[in-house]
Amino acid sequence: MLMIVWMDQMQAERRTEMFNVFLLLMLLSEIIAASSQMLLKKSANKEHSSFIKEYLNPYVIIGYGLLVLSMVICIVCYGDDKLGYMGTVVMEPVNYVLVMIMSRFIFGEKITSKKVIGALLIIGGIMVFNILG
Amino acid sequence: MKKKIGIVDILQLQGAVIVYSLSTVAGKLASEHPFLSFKYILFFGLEFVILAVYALIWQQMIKKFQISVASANKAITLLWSMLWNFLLFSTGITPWKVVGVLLVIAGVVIMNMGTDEDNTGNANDSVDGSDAGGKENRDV
Repeated sequence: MLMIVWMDQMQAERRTEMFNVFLLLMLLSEIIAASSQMLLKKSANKEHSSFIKEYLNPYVIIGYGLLVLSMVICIVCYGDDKLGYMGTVVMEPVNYVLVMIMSRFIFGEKITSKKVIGALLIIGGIMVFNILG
Repeated sequence: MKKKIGIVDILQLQGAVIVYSLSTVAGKLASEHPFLSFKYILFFGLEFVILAVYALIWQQMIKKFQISVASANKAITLLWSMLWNFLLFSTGITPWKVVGVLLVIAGVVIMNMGTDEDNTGNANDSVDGSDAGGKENRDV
């Protein structure tokens, strides 16, 4: 009986092992980075009354703040032995996919078929890296 | 574009990409130290400085190259990272991981093909944060 419980636990552990929390954390980091870009773009689209204000306005300040936050989360992910350096770096291009989706809704940018194919390759590549690799 | 692109320009572009890939190395080095310890802050600062230098070089690069070409080259960052990983961190790289990386690179290249057609709001290129003032992206 005890043996069965123990084996169940082992299996549960293995299951959680297969899915790395740091992978989600890295995704969060990229979502934050992409949001930061949306803010910077919003600022760039605006007319500003002076050169200084092009850089010192709430959009840019919060945008760069988010960028720093995403860098900190990124570093947490680098530190994870399972995800590791390459596992973290390979997640970075998810940014392109997120930017594509966000800018579709925020700026009404078109999603072309090329972009969809590219996005699928990026996601597929990350899956191959993490599941088969 | 206006001027012919020579070997020096291509090397410069690759240089920019290498600089960018080094920012990830600094990030990895920061991760090896406790949060907000001296060395953590040092390497975090280094990552930031590298990104700033990169942003300056990148700004010049996208004057020379079409954004799609420049961005496609940026995908090569991952190959440089694999080299740094091999030389510095030597965490296990399996053949499937290489396949995964190559697929991702292909994805980035394809995504950025044809971005020059629409010169409005190319948010992809604010990756570098360098266009906060919105003075670039008008090279079409």
